[in-house]
Amino acid sequence: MQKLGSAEIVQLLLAITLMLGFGRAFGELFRKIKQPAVVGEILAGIFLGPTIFGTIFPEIQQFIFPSIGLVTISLDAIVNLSIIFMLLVVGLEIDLAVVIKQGTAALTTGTLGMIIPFIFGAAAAYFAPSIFGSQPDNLLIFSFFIGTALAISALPVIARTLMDLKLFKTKMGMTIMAAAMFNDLMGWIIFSIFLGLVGSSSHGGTVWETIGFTLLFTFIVLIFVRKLFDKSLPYIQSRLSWPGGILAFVMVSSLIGAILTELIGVHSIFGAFIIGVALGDSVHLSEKTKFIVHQFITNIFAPLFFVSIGLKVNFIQAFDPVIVLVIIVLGFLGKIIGCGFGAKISGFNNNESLSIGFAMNSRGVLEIVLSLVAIQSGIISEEIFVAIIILVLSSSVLAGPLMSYFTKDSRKYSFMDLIDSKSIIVSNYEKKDDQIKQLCKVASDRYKLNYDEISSRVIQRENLIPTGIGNFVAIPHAKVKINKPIVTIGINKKGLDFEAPDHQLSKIIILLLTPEDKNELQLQLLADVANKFRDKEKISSLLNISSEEEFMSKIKEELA
Amino acid sequence: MFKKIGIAVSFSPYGKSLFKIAAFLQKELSSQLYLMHIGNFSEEKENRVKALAQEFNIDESAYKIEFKKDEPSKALAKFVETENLDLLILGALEKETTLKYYIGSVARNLMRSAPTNLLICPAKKEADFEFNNLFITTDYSSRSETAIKFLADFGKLINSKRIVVIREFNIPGLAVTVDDFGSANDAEYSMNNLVAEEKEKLDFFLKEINIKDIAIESVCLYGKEGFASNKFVKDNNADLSVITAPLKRPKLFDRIFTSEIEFNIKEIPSPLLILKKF
Repeated sequence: MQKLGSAEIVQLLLAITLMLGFGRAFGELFRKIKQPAVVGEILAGIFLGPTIFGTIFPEIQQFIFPSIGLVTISLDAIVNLSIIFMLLVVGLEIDLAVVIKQGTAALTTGTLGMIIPFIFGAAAAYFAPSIFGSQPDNLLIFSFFIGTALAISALPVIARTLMDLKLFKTKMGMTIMAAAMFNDLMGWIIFSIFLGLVGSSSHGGTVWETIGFTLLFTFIVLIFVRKLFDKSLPYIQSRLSWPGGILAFVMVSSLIGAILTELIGVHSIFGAFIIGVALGDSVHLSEKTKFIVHQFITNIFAPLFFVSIGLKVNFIQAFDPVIVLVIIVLGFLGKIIGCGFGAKISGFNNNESLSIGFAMNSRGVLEIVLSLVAIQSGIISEEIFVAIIILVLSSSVLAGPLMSYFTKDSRKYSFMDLIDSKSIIVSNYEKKDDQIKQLCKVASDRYKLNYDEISSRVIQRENLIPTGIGNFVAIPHAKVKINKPIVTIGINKKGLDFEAPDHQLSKIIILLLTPEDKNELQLQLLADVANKFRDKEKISSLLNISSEEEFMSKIKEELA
Repeated sequence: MFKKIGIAVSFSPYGKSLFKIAAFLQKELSSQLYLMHIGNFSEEKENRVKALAQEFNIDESAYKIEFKKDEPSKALAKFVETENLDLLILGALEKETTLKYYIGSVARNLMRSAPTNLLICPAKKEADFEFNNLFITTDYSSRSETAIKFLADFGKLINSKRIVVIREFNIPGLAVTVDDFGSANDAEYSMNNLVAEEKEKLDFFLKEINIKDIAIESVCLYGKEGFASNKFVKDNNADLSVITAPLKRPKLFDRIFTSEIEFNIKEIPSPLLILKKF
């Protein structure tokens, strides 16, 4: 039996140390600049690989990351294990009940978001393979690969973008997540079929056998094993040590899934993914446990995998601008048109549909794993591999800013987004109705609203339940016929009685008008104002002003 | 409110508990009771129903007895329709075997289709009940707002002590943000902020509804919708748990990949009121 010698162990450990260390450092750097950590980790690999480190110090790079030998095999095994665990965590977040609950919108968006880019990619590859730089041996498999590689979205990047833009809890956010989950699930099933086509499975069966086994395994795990997990998890979480017990259970289960799928001729990572889906579905797998599993796997295994990508090829030598451009244009257009169209026919407006398209345009693990298999099987060239990695990087980096731009109107509004110095007025009224009327006048003049209607609605609402919230603040409000929320603020240094629970007179009177059909928006803004005006000291400092402009600059300084 | 109340009468040991609740509601709400037994008519059975009514001091003019021979779910749905019932009281096992749950028992099939307002009472021999603590879930919709107002009116009529309004929410995919937060603590902090924000919204929501003369409490839960609230109801010994009927009838898929309503009807630890007409 061959064994690693002492020198090889040092070599292996050095490689892992550099991969983890650089991956972590680049990941952290990208987190700091509000970019996905995965982008930093891939760039760390490009830095450590033949592209930069290998060009400057080729011998040292080859010593640490040799292309053949026991060290390479060991490193490859570690990377494969990393992929298995990464797929486990991707699966953990697929919630099929959410996909079903979001219904037609998610299914239409998810399905069209796969079909259209698939057709774009596969058709281009089939009818014009020369634009991809070479004539492939098997055109059908090559076209199937290009289509699949462009069709799948990346859940983690989407989730983070939605979180940053505070879109998670909105209808659009839920549709995107459900569509992405559906996309992921279907993507991995197609991936397994692709592996059947390329014959890279250990089973050596026919394509139809691979498809049959894939579907059978999915069915058994999602229907029966899922229930078994649901019954065992409370016991495991309460009886075994935490988090060690549950962590071991989750990882062992995913490895068993991986072994079983490999044995039946489906790639091992598919087994880990489906086991993840079955485990994640259990209501007994708490969010805290999921956080721990994610933290462990994404901090240790994800950097190893993503860094390893950059070690495979020289990104400068294999960079072909035409192929990169073709892949990016086809990928972006296919996804944005597919998902955007799906969202549009599901009832979203143009901007929302575009933002859904941009959000779903994020690519990630699947494309990379798929490309790795394809390059190892000789289906694609290094140039196409590099182009796909650039597609992953660019779509991940651009998802946030593009989505942010197109969701400006439909995003969750915050109090700070809705105010400027023109919406603030210092006054001296002695009656609260007069104060309210003045604020309504400011709003109606500025936004051309029906003054009588809004003032009567606000006063009516105020008479029903006074809106003083304490800390010198009152929020008279009403739902009126408008499309976007409006805020105007009155500063009344004498103070007016809005019957606040702390019995203080209200000196900052915030008029809030919201669209009639948006119940939750009004609640969200009321909660936002209450949150902002919680600190009495800051409010006292706000009251110490002499002009509207001064109040505005103070409010930005104190409450932003 | 609940002027016409139907009861699915059975002569099982726990059938008495349904009678006890029906008699209580009949007296508090001055309702008319429709006592329905699925099966052939016999004088002996009719006398047994009458004896039960007498045992709970239900006046003879306040009830009507009917016998129907049909498949139970169909017979009860038809009964609701012909008598235009406002409320149907049914008994159900607290939990069913997995197979029965998937196939669908009479009670659970009715819960899914909810032909009218339904009060499902867990099958217990000891028929002790009180309606002091009423728990209801909300999604801030105007339908849910109406349901809370309706429940408040109901609570006042039957002298309940408090209403607990539950807002539960779940953010699928939240855990994957750990990748970019870099720490489970940051992700947990972010989750706690979302819960705090939601609690604030819930309190404003309740303030807007402006319910008086009955204590209102609010609770915000993070967890799978349906499961989190059901667990909370169970852990806090609610006397009555209230949900609004789903707008669409749940399908088999909702049972396999358990949806919100399925969590609510899967396990019934305390009487469950499903509001359909309110």
